[in-house]
Amino acid sequence: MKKDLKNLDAIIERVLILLEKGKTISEIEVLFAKEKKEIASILKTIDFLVRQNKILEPPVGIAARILNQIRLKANQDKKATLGRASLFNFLNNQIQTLMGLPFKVIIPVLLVLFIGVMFGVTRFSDKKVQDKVVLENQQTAVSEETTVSAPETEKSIVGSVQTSSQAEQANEVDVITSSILEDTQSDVLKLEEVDNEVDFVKYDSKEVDDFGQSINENDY
Amino acid sequence: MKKPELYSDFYKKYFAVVYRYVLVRVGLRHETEDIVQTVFFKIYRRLVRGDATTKLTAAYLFMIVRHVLIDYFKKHKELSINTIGQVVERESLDSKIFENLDKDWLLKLIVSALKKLSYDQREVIIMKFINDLSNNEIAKILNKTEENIRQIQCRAIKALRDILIKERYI
Repeated sequence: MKKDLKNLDAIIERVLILLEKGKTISEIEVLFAKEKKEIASILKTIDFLVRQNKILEPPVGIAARILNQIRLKANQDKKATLGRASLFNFLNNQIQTLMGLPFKVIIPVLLVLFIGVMFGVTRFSDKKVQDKVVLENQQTAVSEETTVSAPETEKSIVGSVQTSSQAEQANEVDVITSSILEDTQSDVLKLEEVDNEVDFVKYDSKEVDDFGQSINENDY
Repeated sequence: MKKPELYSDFYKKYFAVVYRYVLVRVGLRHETEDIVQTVFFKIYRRLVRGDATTKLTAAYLFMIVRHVLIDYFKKHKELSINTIGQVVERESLDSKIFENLDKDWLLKLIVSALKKLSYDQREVIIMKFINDLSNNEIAKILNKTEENIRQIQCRAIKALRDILIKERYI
């Protein structure tokens, strides 16, 4: 069975080669007279296909008609795009010109590299500036924190500086500094009161000493 | 060679090839005309733009034909054989009934038979027997070796023979 199939494959291949060489089906039939039985259906199939060539032939005049329609379409297309610069066409022409150059590989590669380097440089410098701004902000935040003495006010300053926007931050900073100033003024007043009390106590002890010196206990 | 001359030569050389190829794939004559027109208009536009001058080959042409056919089948879905038969019948009743009847019946038969083959087999059969292209040309279009094309032809003919026996044509 396998041998038959292989034989049939070989016959088909030979038939196809003969067809390529320009032999007709009837001529091939004569050449394969011994294998007439095996080859009959194959030759009929090939004949069926070859007959299609004539059936599928385009009708007379259709080629000219289609060409006329293409010409009309092309004119419409031309009118529609007349006076309009096409970005696609421009870029396409540029690419075509570039591809015509002898260094068509090196130039695009260099161009891409250049764009990459430029992008990298701008990106890096942007990052540097951003880092600087962040560092300055941190420094100002730290200096503000150090000027405040009370721990509760410290927390409120840090929290407000981190969360609010710049305008709000400015307002909040004003409010907080005025409250700090008020606090420090009250602290100064308290300190003055303490000093007064100390002075008074000192004055009292001096009075007691003077009194002790002026009275002789032996007299009593 | 100037662009109009190039296009004209290309059109003359391949018009019938494209027409037959599309007709055997679609099975409808009036649809075939539209598709062929679309194919050659696309080539014209590309030629005008300047991106087809170096590629005006059979391989390039069939690439465009295949794209246009894919678009067509996406839009219309594949028509069933019965539908094709009905359209063919209606067309044949309009004019030259007896002359066209045999042609249309054979067209219907080849379209349905080719649909049962694999993609490669169908392409090779259409190009080889319906379009009379050489194995070398087919190999270039399908990006295969000539030996591959010969093997595909062999298998395709055997498969087609079995289909035609089933359809009681042989």
